Amino acid sequence: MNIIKTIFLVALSGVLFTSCNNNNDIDLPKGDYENGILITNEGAFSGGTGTVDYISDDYLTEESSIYSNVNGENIGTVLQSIGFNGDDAYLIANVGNKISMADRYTMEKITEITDGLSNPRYIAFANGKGYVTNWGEGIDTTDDYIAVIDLASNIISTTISVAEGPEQVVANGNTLYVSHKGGWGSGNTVSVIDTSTDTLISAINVGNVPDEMIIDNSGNLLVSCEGSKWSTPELLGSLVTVNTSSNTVSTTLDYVAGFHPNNLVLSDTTIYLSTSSDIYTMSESATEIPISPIISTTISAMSVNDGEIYVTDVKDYVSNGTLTIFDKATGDQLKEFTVGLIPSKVYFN
Amino acid sequence: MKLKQVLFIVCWFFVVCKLQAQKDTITLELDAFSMSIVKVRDFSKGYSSILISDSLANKNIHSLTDVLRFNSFIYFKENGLGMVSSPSFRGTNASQTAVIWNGININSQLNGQTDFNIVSVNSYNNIAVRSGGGSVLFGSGAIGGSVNLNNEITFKKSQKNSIVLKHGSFNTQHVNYDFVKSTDKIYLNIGLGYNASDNDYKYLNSSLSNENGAFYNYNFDVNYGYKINAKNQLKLYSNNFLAQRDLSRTLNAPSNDTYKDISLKNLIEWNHFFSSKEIITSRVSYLFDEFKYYDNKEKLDYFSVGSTKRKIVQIDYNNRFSRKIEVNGILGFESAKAEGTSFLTHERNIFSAVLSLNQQLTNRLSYVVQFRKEWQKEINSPFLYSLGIEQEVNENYTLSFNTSKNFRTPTFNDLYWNPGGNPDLELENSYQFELGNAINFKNFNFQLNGFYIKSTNLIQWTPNDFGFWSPQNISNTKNVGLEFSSNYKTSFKNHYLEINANYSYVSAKDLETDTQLIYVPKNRANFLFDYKYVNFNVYYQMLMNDEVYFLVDTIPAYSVSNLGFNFQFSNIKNKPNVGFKINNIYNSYYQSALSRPMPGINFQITTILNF
Repeated sequence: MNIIKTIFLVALSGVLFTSCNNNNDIDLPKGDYENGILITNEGAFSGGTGTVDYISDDYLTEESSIYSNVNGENIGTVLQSIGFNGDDAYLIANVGNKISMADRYTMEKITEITDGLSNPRYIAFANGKGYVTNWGEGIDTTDDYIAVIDLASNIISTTISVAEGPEQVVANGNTLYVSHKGGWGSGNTVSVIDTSTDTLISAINVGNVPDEMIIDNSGNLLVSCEGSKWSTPELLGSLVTVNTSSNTVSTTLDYVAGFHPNNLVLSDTTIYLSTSSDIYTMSESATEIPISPIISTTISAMSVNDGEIYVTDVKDYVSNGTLTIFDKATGDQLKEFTVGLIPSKVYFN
Repeated sequence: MKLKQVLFIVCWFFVVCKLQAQKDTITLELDAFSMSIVKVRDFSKGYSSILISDSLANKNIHSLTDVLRFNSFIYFKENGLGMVSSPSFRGTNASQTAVIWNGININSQLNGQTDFNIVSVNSYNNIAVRSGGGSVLFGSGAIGGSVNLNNEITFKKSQKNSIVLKHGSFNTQHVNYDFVKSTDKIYLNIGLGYNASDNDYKYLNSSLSNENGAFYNYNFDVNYGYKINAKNQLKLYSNNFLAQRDLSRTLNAPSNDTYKDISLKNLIEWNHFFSSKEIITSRVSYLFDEFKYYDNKEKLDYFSVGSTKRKIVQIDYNNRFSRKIEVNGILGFESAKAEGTSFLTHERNIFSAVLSLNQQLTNRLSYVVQFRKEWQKEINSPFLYSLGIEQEVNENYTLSFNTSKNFRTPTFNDLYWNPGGNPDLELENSYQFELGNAINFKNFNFQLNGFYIKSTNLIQWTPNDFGFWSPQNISNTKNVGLEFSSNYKTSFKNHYLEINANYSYVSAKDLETDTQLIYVPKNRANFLFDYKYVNFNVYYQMLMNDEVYFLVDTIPAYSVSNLGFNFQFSNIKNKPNVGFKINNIYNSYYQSALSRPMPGINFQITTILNF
């Protein structure tokens, strides 16, 4: 009895002590989903909804479908991507033709955008506006555009007509770069848009099927033109560097046949490229495409943060996929999680 | 418009689907001879089937989907009311249910299925639903079962005009005119029908409604028979159907797609009677199907298209040597050509030969044995067989058994879709057996069947190394289940009561993952209560459907009930009938396919005039 009492008192004092300490804490938590990663899952094409899973940095907390848990509604069919503008997350449902805007740390919905979208893909932010790539109707090659969102009202204020299949979009100051992967066909250009006038200022010929882009530490635009394995004949890819002051191609590193990386990530000064089976690294200043992978595994999408590489695998597209975390330095597998249906990118909160 | 309104108000009627055991005798008369009905009857020993009769035009129904889901064991996955509706029989998939039009297998050559919401609801005299494998008789795809849509051409003097008018919730309209004139030499039937609906019902538990769900369709049918002489009859069947359907949104995505379908079916049949027992029938059939898919219904210049043209020739010899032995042999040739945006132009030719023997061994024991072999280039068709046995144990109890080997041939989409089509595909194979118990009393019938189906080499589309989907012969499944049906009928004075109940249990598993297949409910039941008093009829139908799985989602179990009334005004000229039906009377929220809610309570009024 005495012992129990003592334990109880000690425990109680511990609680009191801790709460006193907390009063001095100035870093208030921003939400349940801070200090972790968000995994986007496309979900079923036929009637399904995209979902977002959360895993805390210490791997102790896992929660699936956080957006619908918090808001009691779905994101919409095929979650293509999430774009972040400060604390605001823009969740883009491609087939759902909807952008849900939510607080990135609490996932509480702020508003939604449904008017003016047609097969939306990705979003970037510049000049107080959001820019969303839209494929338009599949069969019409001339109706593709960038929807411009006025971030004050979250309404699409205007559109900019572009070539077929605008995919990724990145901002470099007030200039936007849009890669034309080509939609249901195959493209080979990058559109340059001036966000002060919202006009197309040039189209740069890059390589076949340009997809992911990054702005490197020297301010150049790197475009991974992944080519196409299933075209007849095969379309070879390349890594293209664009000088952003002149908006011209400065260097092109050709990919060999059979090499079609669909992910391109920059972390510090290292470039990460991944195909569906291998991850490669190269330095920003490298003049050759690496040939030896650092990690070999099944890869649908790859994301990299300070210390880890995050790889999602869609498996068979009909059951839940996985997320595998690798140590960036050693390539060792740290942890594997089961995530939602057709997982794609990981975002760091 | 005025006339319509008057007609709607006039009176009420409904004829409930009458289910009767197919085995019940329909005596073969030369005057009412239909080879396709004979086939289902004489060569289905050991198989259970139900006949949904009465002129279908009289039924207070939306669609064939509606008739069958409330009256048979077939489960339908309907993508919202009126949208694509694919059947699943005994846990097999939609392309493993064969739909037979007057003896011709009409499953799509492109996707292997029949969409029951683009099959005309007005055009057939009866529908026979036959459970179990029937590839021997009906060819590719008759694995789970078959649905036979029949027109009967008879040479009995009669003349009939009938008009059916329906009006329902969501601005649903239906007009049908049917004309039949027959003499002892000539039969002529002309049918014209129009169906349309805004179909913009509100989703329960949601602020959304069924946007972009409107549809309309037309049918034009001619069935013509000419008795050349005592030994020769010529018959022509023509069924033409045009439809446009917007594809409705889901809970998770809007839609502005639309679909147009054309289906033209033509069949000429010549029956030559060597005697009343020995008949040779020649058939020539031409079938044309075309779909056009529009990604955006505002941009009608942009669409993808697919069409198939089929030419079929059959020689069918049937001989009833005695009351105890009947033999049937069929030689067939089919040439099918498909053209389309996604698969260019391809053609295939199939020869087939079928031999069937039906023998009554004793007064109580009979069997049917059948064989089929097909020949087509580059595809190795198996030798198919079917055996059915019926033993009448006593006057109330019949035991039956059947076993069969069935197949499904890859479709044009499977073989040639670009990208992904796999020209190296093989046939899907299926082997099955079934044990049936039928108990029949005067007022009460009871049937319990257990089945086992093992299918191998099932074609499944999966993502390949090149990053696109491609079909492979990879999946193997095992379906085990029970079907129970019961029927009770009684009458006293002018009262007539009928109660039907069907229940099925299906365990359909993928042998690799050991999980229930997508869109297969384990438990399913339907129930009908039907009461008539003189000219008045009231009926209540209920459907209970277990939960089904689709990928990572589960669609919850549901039950839905309808209540209807009919009244025949027998003292008014032409005895008009008026029916009033309340669909989903408890306003249940349910989905048939993922994120596609079905309508809540809704109403329909029907008027039928015969003159």
